[in-house]
Amino acid sequence: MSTDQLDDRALVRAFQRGDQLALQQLVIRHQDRLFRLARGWLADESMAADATQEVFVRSLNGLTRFRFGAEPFTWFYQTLRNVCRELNRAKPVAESFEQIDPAPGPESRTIATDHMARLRNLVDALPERQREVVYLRIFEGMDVSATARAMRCRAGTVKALLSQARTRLKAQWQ
Amino acid sequence: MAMNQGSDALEQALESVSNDWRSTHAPAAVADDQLWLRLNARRSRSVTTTRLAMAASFLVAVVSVLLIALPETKTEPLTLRSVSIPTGVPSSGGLRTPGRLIAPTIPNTPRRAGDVFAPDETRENDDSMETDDVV
Repeated sequence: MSTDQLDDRALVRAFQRGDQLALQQLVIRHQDRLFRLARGWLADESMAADATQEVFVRSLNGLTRFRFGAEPFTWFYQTLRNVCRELNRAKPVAESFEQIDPAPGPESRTIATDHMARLRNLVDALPERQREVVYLRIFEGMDVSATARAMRCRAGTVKALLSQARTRLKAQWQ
Repeated sequence: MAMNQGSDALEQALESVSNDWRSTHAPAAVADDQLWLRLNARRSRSVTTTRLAMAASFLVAVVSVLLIALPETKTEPLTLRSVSIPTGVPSSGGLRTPGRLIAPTIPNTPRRAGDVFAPDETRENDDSMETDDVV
């Protein structure tokens, strides 16, 4: 069976047995999602790329000792959160990534784009946990249990945070 | 009604933002040669560290064995081999125990009435006798 047909756990096991292709497969599988989430937490795209790469470098040791107490993606995501926090501490930024001016933009910008920009700003202004749940559950389209696993909380907490986030967004949207 | 319209607009905007979000891909820089170079460097460093750790623990084991064995090998020649035990020493019953030699006491020399052995003389006698015996 080729590595692209294996699930994450099987890939980690293969990596622990010394199969370097398994790590490559994990990188290919998760790099886009991790990069997008890093872009949400960091100030610019190059920092997000650096953070994503750092996660994979750390995975060399981390996954070697991985004991399957959680999903491999949870490990990647929590490592990414740590890396982003470290980078934000080292270089605090006033604005988050792509804080687009909510004022009307150039003529080429459509109304829909303005709405998107405005909404992104509102989401970025949410409290951290609510913002996190919006990124994972709504933007990434992960189901409630996968979101809960990634955030290391209960499914009920995810639902509550999501409800709070929607209420807040609705109030500010009108 | 207005509430529902606002809510619908929000949901539509969320949907649009989600689609836009998911259309983003990691730049090639994330998984470029640099990543594999860093991974290989980290891997070789960890292999080297493992080898160094193994060498260090081997050295510690060797040193421990030596430290345990050394006092015994030192004690033996010092006590039993380097000290030549005088034979035929007229003794008043000096006891030898393994690893320890108890010097014989002053030889019993016939004493006559009126002989006085000063403490210094006794020591001299003792020393001279020892020197003789070594030969």
